[in-house]
Amino acid sequence: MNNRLVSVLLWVLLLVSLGLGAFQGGRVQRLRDAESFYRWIYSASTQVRLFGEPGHVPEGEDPKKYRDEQLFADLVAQTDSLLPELPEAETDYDQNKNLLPKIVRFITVPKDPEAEKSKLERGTIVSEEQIRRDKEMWAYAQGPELAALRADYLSAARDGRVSSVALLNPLDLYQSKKDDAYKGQVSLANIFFGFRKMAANLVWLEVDRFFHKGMIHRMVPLMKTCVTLDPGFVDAYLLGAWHLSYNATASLEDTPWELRRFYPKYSTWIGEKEGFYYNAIEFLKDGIRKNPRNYKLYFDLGYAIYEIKLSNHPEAIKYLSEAIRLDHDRWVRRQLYRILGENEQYEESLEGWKSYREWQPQNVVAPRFITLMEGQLKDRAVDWKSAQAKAAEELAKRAEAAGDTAKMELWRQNAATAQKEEQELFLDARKYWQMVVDTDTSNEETYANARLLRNKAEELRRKGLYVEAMVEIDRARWASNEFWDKGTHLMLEYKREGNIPFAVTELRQIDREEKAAQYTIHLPKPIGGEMFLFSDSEKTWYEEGYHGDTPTPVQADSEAWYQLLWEHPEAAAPVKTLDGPIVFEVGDAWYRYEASAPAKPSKTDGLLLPLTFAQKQPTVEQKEPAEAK
Amino acid sequence: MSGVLDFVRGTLSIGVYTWREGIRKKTLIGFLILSILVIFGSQFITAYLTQTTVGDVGSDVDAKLIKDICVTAIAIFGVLITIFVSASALPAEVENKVVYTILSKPVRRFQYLLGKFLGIQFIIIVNLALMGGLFFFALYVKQQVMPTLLLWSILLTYFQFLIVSSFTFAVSCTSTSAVLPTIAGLFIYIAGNLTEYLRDVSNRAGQTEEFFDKLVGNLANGLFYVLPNLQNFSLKDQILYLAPNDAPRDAAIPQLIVYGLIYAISGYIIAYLIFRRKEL
Repeated sequence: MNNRLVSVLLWVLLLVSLGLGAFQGGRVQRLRDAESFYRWIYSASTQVRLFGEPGHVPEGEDPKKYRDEQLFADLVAQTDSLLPELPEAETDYDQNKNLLPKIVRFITVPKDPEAEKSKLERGTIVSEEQIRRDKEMWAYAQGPELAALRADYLSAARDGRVSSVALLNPLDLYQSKKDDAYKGQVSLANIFFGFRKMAANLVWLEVDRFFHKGMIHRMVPLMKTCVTLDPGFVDAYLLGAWHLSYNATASLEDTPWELRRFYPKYSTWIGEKEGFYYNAIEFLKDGIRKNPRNYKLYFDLGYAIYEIKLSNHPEAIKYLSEAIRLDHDRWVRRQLYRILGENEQYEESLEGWKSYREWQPQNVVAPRFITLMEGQLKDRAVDWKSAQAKAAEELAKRAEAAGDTAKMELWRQNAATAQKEEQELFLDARKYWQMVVDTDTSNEETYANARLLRNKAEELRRKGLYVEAMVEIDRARWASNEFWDKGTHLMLEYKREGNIPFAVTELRQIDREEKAAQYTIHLPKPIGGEMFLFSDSEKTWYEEGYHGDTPTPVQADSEAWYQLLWEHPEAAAPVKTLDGPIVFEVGDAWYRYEASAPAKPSKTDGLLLPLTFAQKQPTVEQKEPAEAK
Repeated sequence: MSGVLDFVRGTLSIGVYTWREGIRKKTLIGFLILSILVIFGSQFITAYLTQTTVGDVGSDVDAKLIKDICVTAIAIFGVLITIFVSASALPAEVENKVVYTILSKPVRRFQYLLGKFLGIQFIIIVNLALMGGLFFFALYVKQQVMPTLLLWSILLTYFQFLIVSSFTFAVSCTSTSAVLPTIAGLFIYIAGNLTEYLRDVSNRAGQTEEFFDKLVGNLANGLFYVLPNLQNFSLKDQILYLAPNDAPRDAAIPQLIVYGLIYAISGYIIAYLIFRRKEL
């Protein structure tokens, strides 16, 4: 073949191959762009479910710079018609009981309990449905349906205007952060020629060195550098949060209340020690934004920090519930069900433990907790029946005072029936705990023993034998660590009721608690598994999920109130715990409890954030207590 | 038919001979031993790291460190081996005049070049397999789970090396010593990893609306697409941390393999264009 022709042919081949390379490079690039978009969808949707916003504006930065909200709104609008209708799960609602957008519900399938009965291996996606949905979402992420939004997202991401994207900017490592410097970011990944993860590891080795030297203050910036270099370094997030919340605080005392500052964002008072916990929380939340499908981050946030360090059961439940939507180890469920019990959500806890026993029949913890939860439910039934009996007695008294004999007779009869039932329930509960203690051959059922002793104490209390009741309660306290705090408070209650003088240590405790109450009295409170939030402007408590419906007003100590208690004895719990007016839901209806006294003054007055779900313009009747005050 | 067979047989003979010659090189063995030491040593680097168990959750930080150290060791030593072998295979033969003996026989230049190229690839693959095998073993010992995703990572690493190797090989066709192609190979690797800067240049360009500003932007954009982008293979690092059902992974791997092959062909064509006109 002619030499020249071969040359020409080779040049043509070279150009064609380079052209094909460019074409293929474009395809690969589009895949990488689609992947970035796909991961943003997951991150933003997870953030909406957990944090209520699709992105997080870093402290000290202008929120207008970030386009997360607008991009997510577009995503919701476009995917609403694209995605199929989905069955609603319990976890598909936000804190205001609003159904989450379809895309948020679509990305993570609630675990299928049937599928989970099979052996769960770490790293194995059990749910076939999850795999199907992932593929479907991936097809949308790279397909033509969301092409315009994808282009919009990529443009925003390149300009550094998407907060949840782990696009690295060298400027992040330095002080200068002028707005125009963000125009057209340079990926930091390139600087390390693909060895970014190794650089992060070397930084982590430094973090570890400083930990052994006890130099916590030097660890924190390095930990942040480490995760900036490698946002997928989940263990850096986990260990970093552990260092902050456990090691850094190990030698610190709880900050006295007067030295703490109120942080409306967290609705709590934070001092030096508590600051470490919240730093750890923010660090883990950052990890969740970058790695939304790693259960360990949710578990550590929920269990290690919110539960163990802050005793915040509702938040712990929130994150552990998210953890179990993903692939998780067996203990995650155990902790969730245990904490549900702690949060007085006995039914949910019991149901969870039962399903756990079915899933892991060899597990010895599940049967124990099933027993405990059943006992707790029995005790609660006694309390509710007691509240009903008291309400009936009160209604009978009022009918007698009004001279309505027929009504009086009816309520007396009701009270007698309720008292009888209460006694039966009480004996049943006591028998139950006795049975648990008797059948416990290993002598490990200390909590059941404490409950049994508590029941005995309650019986003595009803007979007016307060000293004897206190002896039993004291025995209960020593029987179980878990019962110590509850037992102590019961003991104080008995002493008050029986007019028994307090000991010096008890007086000091009361004083301590009263001082703390000045700071904590209006902080969000979980009662019977429901969250109650205080509206600073209206000086009213609202149960979470209130949508602004006009509640039925119920005056304290009124006939209507006792009537409500007779029908819904569970309504007694918030009234017993909270001060001032309370808006709550019982039996699918909203009530407004008008307390005899307005809400007490508190150190948080004027500091709490306004409630977003509270009625914007309260009715005249609702305004009255606040105005009267 | 026999012509084709002869061509294949001849090419393979040259390939095998290149492989035999390659594995005798002390530098290459040195790199390999070093990489194996690093991979083996990664087990000990993590020994004194603080571990935690919050609740019942154990930390996987040591497994992560092992993965990253091994991936980095394979990438660094692997690319050094790739560059060294690709840069020296041809110039060495030109220097010691072996190429004249071979080409005086009924061996076409194309066939000779292909044989050399295949021999080089064989050396790279064997080295990569050795390093990857040890990495696989180290990870298995640590986690007691077959790290199957690692195989995909090693495969992608090879296709990244294939691009570096083919272009280094092309440069080596112009040279009579291995020094220039080695330097060129390192430059190709570094430049290949920095290709994304061209896109950043393209993004930043055009803000002044001036002709040259736009021109630079378009040029940078064009070069960004034409030049091989080795950062596209970053999936090889991520893959070790992905969930088994991570949807994008399955889509990206075949595309990256095709991408690597196309640029390898481009590199080989350049090599042949140079070599066929070389005065020997």
